[in-house]
Amino acid sequence: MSPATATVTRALSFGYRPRGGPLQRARVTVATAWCVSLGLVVALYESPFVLAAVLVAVLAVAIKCRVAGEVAFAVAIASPLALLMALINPIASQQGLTVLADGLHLPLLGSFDVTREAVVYGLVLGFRAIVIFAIAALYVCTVDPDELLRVLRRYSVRSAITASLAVRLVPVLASDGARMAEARQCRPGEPPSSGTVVRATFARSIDRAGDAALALETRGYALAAPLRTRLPARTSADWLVAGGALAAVSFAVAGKVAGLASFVDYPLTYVASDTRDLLFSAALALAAAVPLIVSRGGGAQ
Amino acid sequence: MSAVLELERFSYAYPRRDPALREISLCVEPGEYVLIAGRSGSGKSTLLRALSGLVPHHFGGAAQGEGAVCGLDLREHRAAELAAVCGSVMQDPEAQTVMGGVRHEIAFPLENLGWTQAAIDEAVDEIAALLGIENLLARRTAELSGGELQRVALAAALAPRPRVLALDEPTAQLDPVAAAEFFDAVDIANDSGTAVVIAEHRLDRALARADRVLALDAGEIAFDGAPSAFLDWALADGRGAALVPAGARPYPRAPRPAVPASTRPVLEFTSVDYTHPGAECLALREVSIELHAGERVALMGENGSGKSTLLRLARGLVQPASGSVRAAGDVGLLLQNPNDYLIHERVADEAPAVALERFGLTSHAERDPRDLSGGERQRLALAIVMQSRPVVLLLDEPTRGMDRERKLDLLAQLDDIAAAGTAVVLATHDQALAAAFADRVITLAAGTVEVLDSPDEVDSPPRAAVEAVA
Repeated sequence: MSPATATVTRALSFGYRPRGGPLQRARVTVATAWCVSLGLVVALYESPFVLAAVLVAVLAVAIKCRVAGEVAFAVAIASPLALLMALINPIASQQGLTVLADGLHLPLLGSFDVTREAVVYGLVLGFRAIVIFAIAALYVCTVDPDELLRVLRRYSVRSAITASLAVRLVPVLASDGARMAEARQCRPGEPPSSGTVVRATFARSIDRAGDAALALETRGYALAAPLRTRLPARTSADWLVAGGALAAVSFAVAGKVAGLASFVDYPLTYVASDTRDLLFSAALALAAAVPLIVSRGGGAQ
Repeated sequence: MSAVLELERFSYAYPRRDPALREISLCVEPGEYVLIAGRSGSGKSTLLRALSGLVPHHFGGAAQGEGAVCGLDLREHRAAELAAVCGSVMQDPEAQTVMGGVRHEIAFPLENLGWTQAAIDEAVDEIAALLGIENLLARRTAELSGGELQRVALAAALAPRPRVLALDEPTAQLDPVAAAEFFDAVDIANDSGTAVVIAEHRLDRALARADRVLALDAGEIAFDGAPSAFLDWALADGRGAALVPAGARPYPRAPRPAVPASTRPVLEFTSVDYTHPGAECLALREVSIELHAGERVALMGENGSGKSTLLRLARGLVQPASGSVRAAGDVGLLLQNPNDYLIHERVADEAPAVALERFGLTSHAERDPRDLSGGERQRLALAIVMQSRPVVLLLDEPTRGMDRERKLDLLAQLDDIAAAGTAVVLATHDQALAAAFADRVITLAAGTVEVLDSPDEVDSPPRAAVEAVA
């Protein structure tokens, strides 16, 4: 298997594993709320200090939940994307007052200047993408899609099952893709064109979807009776995770109101870096992560 | 007690196709174990789909005649409505898994039927205990082996306590050990009163368990009777000749033409160790093997013993951790699923005309490969792999889900290839096939070459099973 195929296969094989961490032990709605609260912080703040603090909080919780490898892998595969954003922004954005290089020329794009502000903002955008990838990886690895489906079924049965099935099909298609990649290596002569491979992969995915539809039919999916199951009982993990989520949101809103950790992109870059801004960033991360890290329990199941 | 399944002159045709079932009349009593035999395309799967309500409702097409499962009219009730009375298990364990956790997978049909949480918990625990899979309840479906996943699918099908179980070649993708465990689980359900209707190509195992055998031929019932009578009928060389179990009539062993003796091996493994990425244990340990031109070797061993890894090392898809693999030319590898090789929309684009001619596919040159039958796809994949005239041809379990006739076709092709001087290695679980094909059997156990022996020494459980029926 080529390194590219192996990387894609590993990325697609991501999934929930019940490893006994605080997010895995909490109700899916609570765990989702915690991840969403950190996503909200990333949406509200562009300060690299806050973004770094959130990333540290995510990594610390990932270690506690025993999914650090998966989250680190997500960060690794997000890095090229981040780099691309950092490279494109100085070309795409002609704002900023501090010109680092003027009159550069690229075919089709014509002449442009590179400003320090555009470079810095490109880096911030890339960093933001990395943090979002890390949060998403943590979410995928710690929130049980089956439990999420049970919650969603109370509101929209068919779309919940369809969504769950789509998630389930991802690793199946990944293993199909890996096998097809091996088969292509076993074909003598010129390798087939990318278009041919994409078409074959698409055809295979349609076949798989057909199989899944058959399985759903024979399991009574079309009846889609209202769910009469109960939610699991609240545990201490629920309260701690909910506390972390609430603290993160509260800090984020309060900091915004107080004008802490501000960031200005154009026309001149300004990153608030007073002691109070740094303390705020650290406090936000601690408030979100510490309740989860100090929680008891855990360990592989 | 009333019949759980009744068909009266039931016919069905898929959209724009000839009838797949023709005037089938059938009555299955509670607790009966019915084995459906038939060549590929004879209508076995279609009949099971009819019992599950998938035809005509899911596939479309036209149905005629009368049909009912536990009193529910097949033309009026969809598969979902029949799920409470007819459980289904299909061939591919992966394709029929819906949920991420085993407990949720078994509970899923019950949730759809509107059962309460307490009733679901009780039913899931009960069926898991009955089938001996309590240890799997906390596991993720993605972590299970094919055999475990298929037993979970059986548990999900049985959870609503159906009166009929429709099984469509459920062991086609399982090794002999996993298949035996699956059949034992089906026996438990059958003993508790559930009628079983099972379609199988590997008749030997199911034959000893069945109360009755139904042989289909071109959508019609060609035989309906007791297993011992079925054996007599099949051995009489009429319409049933293609259905004779390997245990009752071994595959013929082709005469071996003299291949010029060569001192240099065409493929050589020397003290090969291999570890899967991220794994701590060796998948293969100190493997040393030599293959010579024209040699026919069967590679056997349970799932996970290292057969596929050995073939991938030989083809160069993976590299050994230590030791060396040397080939005297190109190595062809036919992986388990021929569909993985088929990526074009025309057969003629997949392989050159001369290769198509060699494997009898010239008349299909303009067809879409996905419209070919299973056997034709297998031949096309072989044609693709054989283009480079390899010195060694490796086949990874190519006979999964094949009927006797297709296995004989494949044996004939492999005999031709070996006679032309190509060494052929056939990884298989099929002892009867190995005995017919191989000059030498290599057995792998836990990554180690355990035995190198002649095919005559291979155990043959199928023969014992058929003798029990006879």
